[in-house]
Order: sequence, then C-alpha cells, then structure tokens
Amino acid sequence: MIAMTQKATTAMPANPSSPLLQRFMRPDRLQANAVKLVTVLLLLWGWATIDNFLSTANVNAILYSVAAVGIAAVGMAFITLSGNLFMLSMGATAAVSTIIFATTLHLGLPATLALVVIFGAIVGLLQGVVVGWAGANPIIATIAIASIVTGAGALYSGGLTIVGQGDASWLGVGTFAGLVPNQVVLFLAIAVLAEIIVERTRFGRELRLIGMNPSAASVAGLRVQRTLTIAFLVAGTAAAVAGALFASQAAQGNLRLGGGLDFDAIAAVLVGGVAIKGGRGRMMDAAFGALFLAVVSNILLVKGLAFEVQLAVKGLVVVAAVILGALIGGIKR
Amino acid sequence: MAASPATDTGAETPRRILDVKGLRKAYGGIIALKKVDFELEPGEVHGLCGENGAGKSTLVKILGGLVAPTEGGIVVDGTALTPGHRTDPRLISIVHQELSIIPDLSVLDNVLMGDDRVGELFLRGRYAAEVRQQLDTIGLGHVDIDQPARELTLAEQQLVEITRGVMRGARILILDEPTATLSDNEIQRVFAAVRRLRDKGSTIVFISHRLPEVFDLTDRVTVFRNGEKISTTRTADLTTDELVRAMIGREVAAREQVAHHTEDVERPTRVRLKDFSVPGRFAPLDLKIGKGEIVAVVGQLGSGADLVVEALAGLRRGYVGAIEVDGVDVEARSTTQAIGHGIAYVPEDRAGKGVFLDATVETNITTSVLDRVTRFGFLQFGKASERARHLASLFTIDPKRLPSEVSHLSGGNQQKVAIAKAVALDPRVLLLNEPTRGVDIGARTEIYRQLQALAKTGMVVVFFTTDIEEVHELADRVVTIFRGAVVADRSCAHASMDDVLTDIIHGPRDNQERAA
Repeated sequence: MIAMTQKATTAMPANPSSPLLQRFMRPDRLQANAVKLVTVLLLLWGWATIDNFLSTANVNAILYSVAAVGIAAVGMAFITLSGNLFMLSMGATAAVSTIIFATTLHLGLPATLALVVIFGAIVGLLQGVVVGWAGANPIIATIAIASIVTGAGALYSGGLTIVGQGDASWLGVGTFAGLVPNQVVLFLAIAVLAEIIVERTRFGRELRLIGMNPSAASVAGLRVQRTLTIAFLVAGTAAAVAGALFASQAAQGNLRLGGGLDFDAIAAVLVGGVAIKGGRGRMMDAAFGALFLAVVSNILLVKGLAFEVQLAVKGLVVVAAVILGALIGGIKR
Repeated sequence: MAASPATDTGAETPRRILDVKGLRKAYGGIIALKKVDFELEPGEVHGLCGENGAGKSTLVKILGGLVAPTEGGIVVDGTALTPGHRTDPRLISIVHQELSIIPDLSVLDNVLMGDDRVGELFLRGRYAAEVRQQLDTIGLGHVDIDQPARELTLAEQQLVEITRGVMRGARILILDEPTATLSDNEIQRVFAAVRRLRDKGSTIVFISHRLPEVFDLTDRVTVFRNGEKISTTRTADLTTDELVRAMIGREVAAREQVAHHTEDVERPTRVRLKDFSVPGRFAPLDLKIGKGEIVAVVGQLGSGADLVVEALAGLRRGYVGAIEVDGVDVEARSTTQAIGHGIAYVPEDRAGKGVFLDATVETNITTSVLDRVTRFGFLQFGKASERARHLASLFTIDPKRLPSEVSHLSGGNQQKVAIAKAVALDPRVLLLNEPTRGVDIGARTEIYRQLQALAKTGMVVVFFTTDIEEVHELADRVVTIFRGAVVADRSCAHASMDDVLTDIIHGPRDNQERAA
C-alpha cells in the first residue's frame, strides 16, 4: 500500500500544468507530436555530428526521397482513418503508373499526368466498390487487385523497361523558384489539401466517424458506402501520382519501380500517429511520418550503413510505433 | 509492502474480507473516485447504489484490476492487490452486465473458460463432476454440461457466468447489473442462486439500478454519489425514499407526479401500420398512432416486440406491409431511407451503435444532420456548434462538456447524447430501443421529461423496453406482443402495470377473459 501511494505521487508530474505541454501530452496526439519533435532533434543531431548534413545536396536528397512516399502515405492515411487498415495495391498501382507515364510521355507532361491520375482513380474506385459496397476484407481485396494490376501491367509492357519519349524534367528535376523541388511542392500541396478535406468537409467528418464506429455510422445514416469508395479512389490516385514521380526522374517506366511503396506508406502512416484501428489521426501526421522515415534513412545512408540495415531499422521503427500506439491506447482507457 | 497486512494471514479469521482504504482515481482533471474507504463482511450480499458517474463502475474496474488507482490500497482476505494488475479471480471475480458467454461452446467449456487450473491440455472430463455439482447448486440442475450455451435462456447464461466465478473459488463475487436484460421470473432464478451462494459463505457485491431488487436481495447497501461514498447502511434500516435521497442528494418528485398521462384525446393519425410484419418474427399487425402520442411496445425477449421498433427504423429490410406517415406511404428498407422520411432511431446498444465514444459531444450530436451544417461540402463549425449547444441544453447536458469525448461521460449522459443525436433530425417519428437502459434515476427523469415535451410538439415516440416502470412513467399507450402477436393495446391512463405484466408473461388469457 505504501508503494502504491509513492507510485501515485511520483506519477503526478506527468500531469503537466503548462497548457502548451498539456496539449503536447494529450494521449490522442502524443505520438504524432513526439514524431515531429524527434524529427527536429534528429535534424539537429545530424547537423551537429555529420559534415555537410544540411548542405543543399543532402537536403535535396532527403526531400526527393520523401516526396513520392509522402504522397502515397497521405493516400494510405485515408484508408487507415476509415478503419479499413491498409491498401496493399499501392506499390503495384505505382509500378504500372510508371509504365503508363513512360509510354504516354510523348503526349506532353500535363496529358501524361492526367492519364496516370485517371488510371489510379479507376484502380482505386474498383477497390472502393469491392470493399465499400460489397463489404470485402480490405487486405484480401487490395492484394487481389494488386495482383490483377501487376498482371495487366506486365502484359502491357512485356516486362521491359520503357523509356519515355518526351520531357519530364519539370516534374523530375524541376524546382520551384530555383529552390524547392517541384516534387516536394506537389507533396506539400497534396498533404495540405488532404488535411483541409479531412478536417473541414462533411466527407472528412464522415470518414473519421466511420473509422471510429462503423455500426454507429450506419445507424446515424452517414453515407458509408459512398465515403469509403471515395477514400479508396483518393488512395489509388495518390499511388498513381507517386508512380509518376518515380518515373519522371529518369523518364522511364519499369514494374520494379515502386516496390516497397506499400510498406513505406504504411510505415509513415503508423509512425506518424494515425491509429491502426481507425478514426484517429490527421493527414499531416502521415506526411510527417514520411519525413521522419526519410531523415532516418538519410542519416543511416550518410553514416555509410548498408541498405539492408536501413530496411531493418525501418522495420524496428514501425514495430516501436505500433507498440507505442498500443501503450498510449492503454493509458487512455 | 512489507508492512502490509499480508503478513498476518491465517492467525485469525479477518472480520473483513475486503478492505479498501483511501482509494482515489482521477482521469486527467476529472475525478472519478475521491478517497473512498469501503469494506465487506464475509458472507454478506452487499448492494452498490448510485447514479451513473457516481463512481461504482470505477470502483469495480479497480477491484478487478482493469484500472490502476491514482492512490490508495486494496486488501482482499489478507492479500494486498497489485495496482493495475488483473486481480486473481480466486480473490475477486466479476460478472459483467455484458455476457461473456461463447454461444458455440458447451456449458462445461464456458464454465472452465479462462480457469488457470485447466492446463494447456484441455482435459474436460477431469472437471466435469465438479462443474456438474456447481451447476446443480446454482440452480442449473436441468442443464446438460455438453449442451451448447446458445440453447440456454439469457438468465441461464447469466447463471453459467456466475458459475464460472464460483468455480474459481472467488472469495468475492461482483455482479454488475446481472438483471438488466432479464425478465421478472428470470430475475427470481438469479436471486435464488445468489442467496444459495451466500448461504454457502460467499461474499457478493450486487449492483443494480432497480431499487426493489436491492431491497429484496441485499444485507447492506453502500451509496455513491459524485465519486464519494455517502453511506453504508443495513438494508433493513433503510426506506426507498432515504436510499433515493442518498443517491441523488435531493428529493425527487414522487413517481406518480413524474408519470403524467395525458387523458385519451382525439389525435389526428400520424403513423399507420398496415399488415406490418417481419416474416417469422412477428405476425402482421395494424396500428394507428396519433400525433404526439408516446407508445410503448413491450414483450419478453424473443417476443418480437423489439423487432417492431427495429423494422420501423429501417433495420429489417425484409419487412412486409405498409408504413404510412402523415398519410403518405413510406419505405424504410435502410436507416438512410427511414431518416429521409423523418424516422429517427436510438439503438439499445449505446457504446456499439448509439454514439461515437471517441468523438466529442458536439461532433456526436451533429452526426445525423451533417447535411444541414454543410455548405459546398465544407462544414460550418459555427452553425454546427450552435445546433449542438441548443440540443445539449434541451437534454440538460452541461455545455462545458461539448468539447469532451463521449467516452468520458457517465452512462446517463451518454444516453442523452445518443437521444439528442436522433432528435437533431427534427424527426416526425422518434424510435427508441431501451430508452434508458443502465441510466440513473436523475438522468432518466430528465430524459422522460424531454421526450414528453417533444411529443407535445407533435412528434410520435415509439419505444421498446424491458423495464415495466418505464412504460408507466413514459408512455401514453402500451402495445404488448406475445410470441409475435399483439395481445393487448392499452391506454396507460386506464391500465395498471400489473395488467401489462400479465399480458407480457402470459399472453392471451382466453379462459380468464371468458370468465369475465
């Protein structure tokens, strides 16, 4: 009994008095806030201990590595928030998008991008119908669609690398005001737009509520099927745009591009603090999760560690994030 | 810990089997329990009373080790509990209101579920005799241990759960609203079992919102209010009024005053059901409901009475017959369709279907009317919050609670949110399934008052309930269904609740009526 009282008193300072700290510590925002803080600390640490860490070249390397994964992560966050776990067709959709990108680049970049977006939207819509309307399990359904998409892509490309006939440099290497890569501007624009849509629109509110409690959502008369279908459509489109970014850098299409995108996006979503059970988290959290992972990978890279080590570290970070999420969930109750 | 009473076990029988000292629990700024002392004498049935949010459930959760206290200690029969660790079921076993019976497993497997003595190798036969004996003691002598639990009635399943606690040799058995879903004669079976256990030396904590049960069953009663223990009294020394006063801290209007029944007046018909039925569940029925009328549809579990309400709400797409609202035929094949016709529904399962526990009160109240607070797809937060504020005030929800998550509210307040959410639609017909299950007296009165006020504006209220008092206090009219058929349609102003109870339990009484 004595020990219990002591434990209680030492636990008291965990209940902070400063309003700023209190906001930081709110259980439902704790992980998302912590990831942002750790990202900043990592950047500072890198700057202090690694030569040229914040040089233009290295910062650009980080930014280029975050853009495509970040866009896919924001798309993935729509699915996770809706309570449908993950879309496991993102890598396949992105890979086939690189082929479409390369084969249609002669039409000019805007037309190419439009076609890629339409492709992604159709693939996403298909999954939305299968999961949202027919009520299929999202994991199984999206793996199955991934297989169909990859098969169709392989038939179409013959499994070869396709070199685009045209100029994709605006997207591939172009910069905004000579400073920020256009890819990064695109990522930021998509993330901000997604944040606004989810936080401020009726669709976004419904998406979150469905993720929290699908039975209550249907009793309340929310547009469950329509909302889920749109969420999948958005996620499919995001995957296709990520593919366009991959393809634009070398103006090439290949089914191997985009491998690992599914896991990278899932990692960003979970590390960023979007709840795996749905209903909790924000679009910006996924974007920051992607940035965090990009910074970690970059540090490992410039420290001279092998790609295999980076993979293992990424896996560890995700496991830690999932455990942390479960622990925070435990505190709440 | 060394100085804890754990050292003096065995020397003499402790007079107290449970000793709770200075228990405090705070969730952030909200204090759920304030320095509570609580003890149990061995071999007593001890009632826990208090409104929702009074601290009962927090105490139970802490006793079960599901929640760690902020301060304070618990000693069970000489053993100090480790805070935040699941309590050994041999010390305290809790039977929750929600059954944890697995329908497809046999009775034996259900009883042994989670028992530590059963090793990795599940040797059923080894415990069969012991389980058989325990089932006999508890009044389940007629139940076969190999029978799937699905085939038992709710009361029998409840008793199987209690048997599970007894099998583990729990020193203290906590029954958390064991009777909430049971009918009257089923309740008597559970009570008989509890008395039998007490006579064999078990200590039992009994939690119920139904005061007559508390007086019927318990030896002592402890009352909680706002997280504080108010009193512990011998039940025999207590009157109902004293108990109610202790629970809510003020006088309540007597039952008769709360229950107001509008005398039968001619009302223009608002809802008309023609040959309305769900095949296989309840037979075709014809019903006319007037503007502003409050109708209770009652019946035993399985009678189909609750399905009448569910089918109207759009939850039974296979219904047949016609629904007419304000003279126009409407279809209710989905909730969305029902809502479109001005039919709103409050489900019975609050946490599962009624509210979004993780969303704020404000968000919850506006969920069903998102279209009305949206412009060009964008939510208008000012408008939404104004609506929420208005509805919250109707149901006396503290406006300061609007930004807090519903999971932080008491059961009574959660139910107010669930009802406010439906009322937000300005429905022509409001359907409720168990309007106040697990809701304390204070909140219940407020809910009844508001529903009656809404009916005065012309809204039709139709509800299903298993609580006969609720019919008496809320309804103008009561329709009883027995085995899928309407057996009585009475005006509450003229019928006694005993009549209604007889309708519910016996159904048609041909011979009696012939005699009369």
